[in-house]
Amino acid sequence: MAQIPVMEVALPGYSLDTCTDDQKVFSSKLNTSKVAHREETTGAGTYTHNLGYTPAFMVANGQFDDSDIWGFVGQYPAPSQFEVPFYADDSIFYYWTVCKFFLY
Amino acid sequence: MIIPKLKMVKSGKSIESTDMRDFVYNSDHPSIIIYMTELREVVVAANSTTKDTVYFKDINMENNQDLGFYPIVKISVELEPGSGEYFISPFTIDSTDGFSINILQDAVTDTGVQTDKFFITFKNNTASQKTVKYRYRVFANIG
Repeated sequence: MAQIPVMEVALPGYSLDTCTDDQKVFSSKLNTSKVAHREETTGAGTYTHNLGYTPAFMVANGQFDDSDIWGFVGQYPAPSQFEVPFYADDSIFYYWTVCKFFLY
Repeated sequence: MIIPKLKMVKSGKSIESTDMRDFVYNSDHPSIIIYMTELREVVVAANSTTKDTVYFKDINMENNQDLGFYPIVKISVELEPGSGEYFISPFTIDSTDGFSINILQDAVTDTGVQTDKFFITFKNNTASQKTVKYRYRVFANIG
């Protein structure tokens, strides 16, 4: 059986001979995220990705009330605690505020 | 001009595939890069609040640096210290939900992300001092 070549990079301070997978920067034995699209929006809208499957996504809400403060993933950066819904299907990603997102 | 590419295909898949899910790595589609990550511990006095601020660093992780963009930052928080249960959506849990800790968002300056730092204000809802743990991940900007 043919040998399968492997490419791996350890984190600084670790040895590939002894480190665990979570101590590697990269390993071709493990799948990586592939970013299909990245965008910073100016308001509500939709993005047609046409991937043919529902991608994973990560979103950070943008500026609130013209401040220079943004939110964490899952946080609307306002003096409130309501959630802003983001969702995707197999062709479109839907967003409702100024935000920055990755589809992957 | 020839543009070099690096592709690593999954076992049984073709290097000629146009489906990015067939690849372990494909330089046509950059990976999400974790620029900074850390497990932090914050002491919050009884019935009090503590604001924890983390400044972004340069690529060598030595000096503070304004990144020049608002990074996507994700946190997971152990709202019940010692429980080992980390919440990835802790912002909607308020002080009436029964957890020892919640995240304060009464003002925009309580909890948020800027180009040079992020800050989180933890509120201790109990009559004893708590040490709250949380992990942050700052993602690099992918242009």
